[in-house]
Amino acid sequence: MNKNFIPDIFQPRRIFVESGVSDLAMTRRILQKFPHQTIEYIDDANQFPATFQLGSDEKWNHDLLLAKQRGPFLRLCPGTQKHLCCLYHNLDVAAGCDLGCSYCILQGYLHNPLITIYCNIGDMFTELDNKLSQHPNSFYRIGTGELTDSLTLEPISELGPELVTFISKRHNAIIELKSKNVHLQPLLSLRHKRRTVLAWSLNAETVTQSDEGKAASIEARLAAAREAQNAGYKLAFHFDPMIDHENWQIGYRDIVERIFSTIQADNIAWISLGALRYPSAFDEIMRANHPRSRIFLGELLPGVDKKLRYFRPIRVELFRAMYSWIRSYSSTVFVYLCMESRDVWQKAFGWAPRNSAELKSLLDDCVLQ
Amino acid sequence: MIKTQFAFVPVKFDEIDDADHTYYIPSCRNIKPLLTSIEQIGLLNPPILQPNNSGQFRIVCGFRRVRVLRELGMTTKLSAFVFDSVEPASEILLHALLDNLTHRDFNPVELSYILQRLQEFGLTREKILADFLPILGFGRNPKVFELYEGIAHLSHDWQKAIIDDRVPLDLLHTIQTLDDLDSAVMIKVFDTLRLGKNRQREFLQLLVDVAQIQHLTIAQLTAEQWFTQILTEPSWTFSQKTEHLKELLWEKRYPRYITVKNQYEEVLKASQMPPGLDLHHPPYFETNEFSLNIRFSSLSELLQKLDHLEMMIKNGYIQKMIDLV
Repeated sequence: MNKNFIPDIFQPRRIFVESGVSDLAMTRRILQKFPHQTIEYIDDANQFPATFQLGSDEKWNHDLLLAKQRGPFLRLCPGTQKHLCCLYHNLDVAAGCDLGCSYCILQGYLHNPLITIYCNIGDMFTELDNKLSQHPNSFYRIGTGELTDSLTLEPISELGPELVTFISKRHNAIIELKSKNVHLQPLLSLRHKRRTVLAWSLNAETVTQSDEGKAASIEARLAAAREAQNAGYKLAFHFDPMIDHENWQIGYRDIVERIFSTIQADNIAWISLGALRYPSAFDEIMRANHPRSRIFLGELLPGVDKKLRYFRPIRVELFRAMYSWIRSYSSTVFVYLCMESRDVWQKAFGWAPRNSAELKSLLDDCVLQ
Repeated sequence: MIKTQFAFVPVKFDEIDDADHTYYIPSCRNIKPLLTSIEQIGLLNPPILQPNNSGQFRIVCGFRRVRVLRELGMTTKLSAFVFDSVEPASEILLHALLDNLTHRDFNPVELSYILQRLQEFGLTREKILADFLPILGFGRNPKVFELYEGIAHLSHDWQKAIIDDRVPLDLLHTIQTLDDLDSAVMIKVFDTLRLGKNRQREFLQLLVDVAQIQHLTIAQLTAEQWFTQILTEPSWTFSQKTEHLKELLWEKRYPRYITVKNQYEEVLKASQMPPGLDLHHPPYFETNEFSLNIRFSSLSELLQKLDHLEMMIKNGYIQKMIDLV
């Protein structure tokens, strides 16, 4: 892979539009970007998977669906039993991603083969406004990177600037845009008041090259982070999923070193660590989609939540090493584990939040300062 | 919809070219009942034929009936339905399919050959999905198409195992990714160990994973001495062989977990726990919650077991177990 690889902007092969959103501003804005594309109008996106068939050479995530979000946009992260959760809120602005990482759990969660952008964003801002106004004493860390990559569809949806501006005017929320892509130019000149955290998922170079599909290179992601830093944004980095692979120590240590040689530690809101994990029911799907990947050959065993995870001592070893490398560069950057038990925290970091509420409070403090 | 017309006409038996398999839908069924029926009461259901370009007739429906008539020497006269068109057509193949469906269910191997034939007739995957899979009793599911399509390419041993319902169909997605040699080795391992369906799934995944971890093919892995020795050990039962192989495959697949598990079992053994005192480690050592079960039938027995437990604590056995996780 080219050291400075940046993926092409997503070009849908076909575009489907749910008739209920065809007149909305966001729909029109998106369709204007594809003047020569044939548009197919459908009545109800929920009925879509039943009638939509892939051809023999077709893969997921080549087509775009513009649809209405019928449920709430904002959801509290469901967490997982007996594990500490940071009590994050997910804002589902889209579902699906064009990057094609082998470990992506969207392969199992999403049941239709299209990338969906929800175009009724007026409803979304009303919902956000109501939620934040009705709970003025609660603090919300919100992210759009759960069901999609936060930046990869940005050139099409152009939602980022609206979100950044909206959140900049709220005292009790921040938004985190989490990505493996680098489409952030329209965000750089905004008045964000440091209420947006621009975050990049990172991995060891070898993992990026073998298992992160069309994601931007590490070099490109770090260059984007530097641009975001120059634009005054708070930053975050997520090593999730960490992969237990040959010479992982060299690979991950190298990335940590590159972060701190590129970014000032006091601009980093947090760094999260998480090890490869996914519901055991997805194992077959993920292996079938990525037959050449070796990540599924790790010592992945069923956990209490029925997800496959690395054998616990392996996770502790990964986290402990990363924590010590990060600490060698910064004694203050907040480092947390995603979906791990208190016991693993204790073994890896030498301390643990008492519960999920305390973890939330510690993370809130990182952006309230 | 079949638009072609046909007529019921007398045909000379030697005009039937039963080597022409244009519309042949393979049948893996016993022909004896049909033979008995035709022998005793004659041919009740005439074959359906189509003229070909060489002045003979190809069979559309009734390959087995013609074969039986030939075997019985009943080859003097025959009345048959004859299509008026000469060219092979997918619509006529559909007719053959529908005729077959009136008196039998297709097994997976037959279904696979049908899908292959439909494609040979130039039908697209989309057309087969939309028009033919529902007739064959499936939804319009591309995964079903891919699964059954691949069966025709499997070896005879695999096809036989599928027809005999000795292997689960969901396994075939993985089998179809193996090369011929690995595929042949797998069915041999299944047959040699007489594995049930769940065990087949478990063994297939273990062998595929271990082979990949060790950068070997399955054939190379199963040719290693430790594997062949267990497989050919004359004094072990099938289930003993299976257990031994599974144990060794787990050691190679999950080396760190098995090391810890073995260490735990060594500590447990050294502590000489009496019967009725059971200490269990957390599943896969994922949490730090051990469980203890004490069975007793008298106060003295309980005290005896509690004494043993105290000894285990004092001598550091319990701590060693806790330290493992």
